[in-house]
Amino acid sequence: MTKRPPPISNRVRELREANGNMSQASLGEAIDVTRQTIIAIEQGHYSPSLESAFRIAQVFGVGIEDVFTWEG
Amino acid sequence: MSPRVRMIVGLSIGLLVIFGWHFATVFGVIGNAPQTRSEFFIRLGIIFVGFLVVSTIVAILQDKRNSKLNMPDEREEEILLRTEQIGLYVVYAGILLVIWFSFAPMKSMQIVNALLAIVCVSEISKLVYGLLVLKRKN
Repeated sequence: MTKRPPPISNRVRELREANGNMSQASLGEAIDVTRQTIIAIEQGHYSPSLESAFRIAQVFGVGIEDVFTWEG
Repeated sequence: MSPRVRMIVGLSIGLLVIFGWHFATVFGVIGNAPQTRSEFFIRLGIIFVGFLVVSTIVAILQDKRNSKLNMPDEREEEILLRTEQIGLYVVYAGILLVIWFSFAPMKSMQIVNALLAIVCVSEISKLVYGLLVLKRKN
């Protein structure tokens, strides 16, 4: 019954580490989602909404295409 | 354990205790089962109040430092929607079963308890499914 996530890879973990080892909880707080959701995004189990994807990119000061890549 | 998982575990335990007690009386394990309509409605009231108490305790145990954590985020909302769907499937299946069995002579109290069991199984299925999905995605 679980929805298969679309083939999207991301560099969230890499960008977090490059930005002063930002914690998953801090990133979650910055974009209004829980730490568990950040973990799920990093592991590719969950694709965030467009709004959250833009917010993540904004937090790291990069474009959305620098964070998420379509692998399809 | 995330706040959402904590809430689901708390509610599941509460539901199991409340409905477990009711069905234990129905099957004669403890106490007496309600036999009349008024007794049954009193029992329903007790179940309702019991569930309110459990929900309140679970809400109190939530993380008060960050009220945002108590609200489902986008991923959790998606999971909650799917759990509602699972609950509905269980209700449909249960209703079909009750209709099937009601063609055999059934006491009204048996039908009432079967309907209550459907509600119980549906709620527990929702909670268990939500818990499994939340844990799997962590």
